[in-house]
Amino acid sequence: MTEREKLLGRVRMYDFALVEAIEYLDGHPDNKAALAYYSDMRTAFDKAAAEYEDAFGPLTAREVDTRSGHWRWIDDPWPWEGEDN
Amino acid sequence: MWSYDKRLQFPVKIKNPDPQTAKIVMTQLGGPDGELGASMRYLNQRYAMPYKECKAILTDIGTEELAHMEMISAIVYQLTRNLTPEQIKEGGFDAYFVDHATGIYPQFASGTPWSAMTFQSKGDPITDLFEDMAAEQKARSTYDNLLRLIDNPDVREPLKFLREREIVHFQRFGDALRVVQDHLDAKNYYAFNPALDIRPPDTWRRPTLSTADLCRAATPQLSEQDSD
Repeated sequence: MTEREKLLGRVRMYDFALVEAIEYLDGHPDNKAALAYYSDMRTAFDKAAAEYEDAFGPLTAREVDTRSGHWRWIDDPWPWEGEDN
Repeated sequence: MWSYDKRLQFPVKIKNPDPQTAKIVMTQLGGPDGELGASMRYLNQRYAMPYKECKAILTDIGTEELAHMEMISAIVYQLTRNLTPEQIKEGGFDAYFVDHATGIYPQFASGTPWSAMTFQSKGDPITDLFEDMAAEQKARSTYDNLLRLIDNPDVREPLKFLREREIVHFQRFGDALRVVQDHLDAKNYYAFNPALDIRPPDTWRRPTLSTADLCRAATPQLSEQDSD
């Protein structure tokens, strides 16, 4: 497993936990345990996403670091290409 | 509005092309129970939904279905890379190839193009949610059928993930149905359509007319008598 796959795997794991929490909370908006779980997963997701983006470039077009003088958003690979992302 | 994350929800990394498998997996993109139809079903139905929990469920699941569409497209794309003309013919991919080469086009396994006729938006929350729960089960059955025919673990793993999501979404639409029914009369859930017959009084009366104005508009003969 490459470093890129490892870091992206953590982003995916916490994002999946968030998707599950969000869809559950939609139907149970006052569930204290689910609210606490969502909050913990969001903290973990933000950290994992920041680590990935620092090393391998932006996950969204609103988080592009322009200091390199290059628009990194377009850089390959794109998700469907089956590279190590 | 929407934003795009440059990653798949679940990894798709397929080592060997296999056009025969691509032909059948494609049905979960543009087939009668595929992810494109799922997304369009929920994202179009949400406007007739009067209850906030259910507006959120339709929006969030409809959004997740877009990510599933991307996964299926990635599987088909990777299964049809670098094909030789012999592989295309032997895999029965020639009919698709002459129309689309290896471009991704949403169609049934049988070749019929995707159609909005595969889903309903009935404008009735109970009717729509029962359709949604049935749709999740139909998609789950389709993944079951695909998993009976496909041996390649590179393809099976993402399909197994997507199959699980159908089961979870069935549960979430069950939550939504409970919310809708809790708002209605348990003795007769079908007494009226809450998308049509219940409107918050503050928002539909106040902007232009007072209650007295509305009464006068509805009964002009009384207004004439008042002014005498």
